[in-house]
Amino acid sequence: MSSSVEAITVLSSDGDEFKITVSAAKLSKPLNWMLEDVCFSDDCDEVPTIEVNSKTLVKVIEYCEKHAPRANSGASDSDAEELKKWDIEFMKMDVKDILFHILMAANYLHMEGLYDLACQTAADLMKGMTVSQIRKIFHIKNDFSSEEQEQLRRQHPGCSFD
Amino acid sequence: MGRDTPYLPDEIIQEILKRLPVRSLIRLQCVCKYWKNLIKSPSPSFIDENLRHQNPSLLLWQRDIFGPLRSQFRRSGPLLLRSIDSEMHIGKVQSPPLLSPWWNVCIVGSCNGLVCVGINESNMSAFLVWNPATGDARRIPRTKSYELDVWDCSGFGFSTIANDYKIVQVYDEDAKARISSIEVYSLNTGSWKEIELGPIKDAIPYGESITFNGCIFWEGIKVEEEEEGDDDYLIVSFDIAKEVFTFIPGLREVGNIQLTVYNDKLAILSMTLQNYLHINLWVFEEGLGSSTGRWIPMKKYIGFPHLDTFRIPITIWRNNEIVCTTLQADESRIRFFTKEGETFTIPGYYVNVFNHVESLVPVGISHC
Repeated sequence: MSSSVEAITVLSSDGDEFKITVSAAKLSKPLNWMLEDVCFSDDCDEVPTIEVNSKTLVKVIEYCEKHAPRANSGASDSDAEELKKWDIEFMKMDVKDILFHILMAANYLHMEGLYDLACQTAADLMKGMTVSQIRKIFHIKNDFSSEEQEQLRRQHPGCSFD
Repeated sequence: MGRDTPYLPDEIIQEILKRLPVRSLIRLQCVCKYWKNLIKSPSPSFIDENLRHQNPSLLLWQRDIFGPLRSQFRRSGPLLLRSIDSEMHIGKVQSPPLLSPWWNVCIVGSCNGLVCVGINESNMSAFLVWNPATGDARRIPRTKSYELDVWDCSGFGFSTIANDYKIVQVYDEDAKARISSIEVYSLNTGSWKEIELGPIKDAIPYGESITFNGCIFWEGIKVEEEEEGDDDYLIVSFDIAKEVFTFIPGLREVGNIQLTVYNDKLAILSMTLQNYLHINLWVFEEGLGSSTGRWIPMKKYIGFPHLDTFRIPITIWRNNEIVCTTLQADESRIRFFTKEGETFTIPGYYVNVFNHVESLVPVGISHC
């Protein structure tokens, strides 16, 4: 890889092109490997595809670009505090619709920080959901027989199957 | 979340569930059989990681005002518990199975979500290891006769080295205020064994214990054959893995002393009678090599004139909040305060308050 390259172009699974800086791409192990293996100079015509849809990839790159300076240089406590606030904002409404996609992408791209953040966000959302709401978003069918439901209810009087 | 959420692989589902409060997990057993299995029969790593994601809570032991306070050293009575979580929500704790509601009990300790309860009834001398979050409990009978009225010392804790939860019971069979034997129960082996007295034969640990970092600590006094000297007050420490006792110098401060944990170190909350509005926090710094270490004053919680009441410190939680009781002529309260002032108050009569954390740790086998 030529050291003069500052940003690379990648394709989303929808076929859209995205630019990501080299330092941001380093947050992902597979992308980092790609950087080392593939020629990213201007005259190279091979554009790697990332199996993440465009909507999700935009958010993943946004996260990477924000976190890259800190990951590469280390940061003061105040920076860490600021980044934490940014993460909370980042995980708010506009991400909710694609949270599960972000989880899949962070897992696939081996991005520990984003994966942890997305898992925690999902967990926090689930706290306020009913059992049937949770079944719906996870595509799960209630596979308990009525006897089994009765037994669980006896053990945990507060439990609800709806 | 949108209608078109992707199917998540089991690996990711488990990662999310690990981050949920135990209370939510218990509720989510109803989702499907696979989830129920994950939560009801969790893997050791699931239990451990889930425990690391839990916020601290407190168990408030309510006083049955008609019940007797039997022990001189350890508070006891019927087990009526409430819990308070880190968002200051107060909830009722379902009573454990295998325990009659009117039995006289003491709380030996709370560790990784397991609560050890001592039962001191004429026809039932036992311990109950109980997980209030899952509702599971196991009763462990004592092997020897035991009289609460003399003095009482037992402890409960976990050691990562031994990867085991243990109960320690100190016996004074001849009622001579001298330790006659010590037995240790291992949750892994499910059996009691007698251990060597060692240096503890010259001391008496007493009262409520605290546990962290693989040790159990009590206040204690040194028993001398001659006249009682000045240096008779000390802290007794029990290494859960090695099963040996050692001594830590006591803090020479007049007044009320409460053992606690601060920043993963043994700590003391003290209050002098001369200046009962102020509460001091001391931390024990381990000595290097053979030196014994010493008590370092950390913080002083200055009293507030408008809260001019007698405050007895109980514990510290969320790392800077002192929990104490106040008793005035007509009412009793649990009060929470930081250096800046009072943050919360709960009216009512309470026997004691314990640091706790909810977990899925089973009462039977070890979780690693």
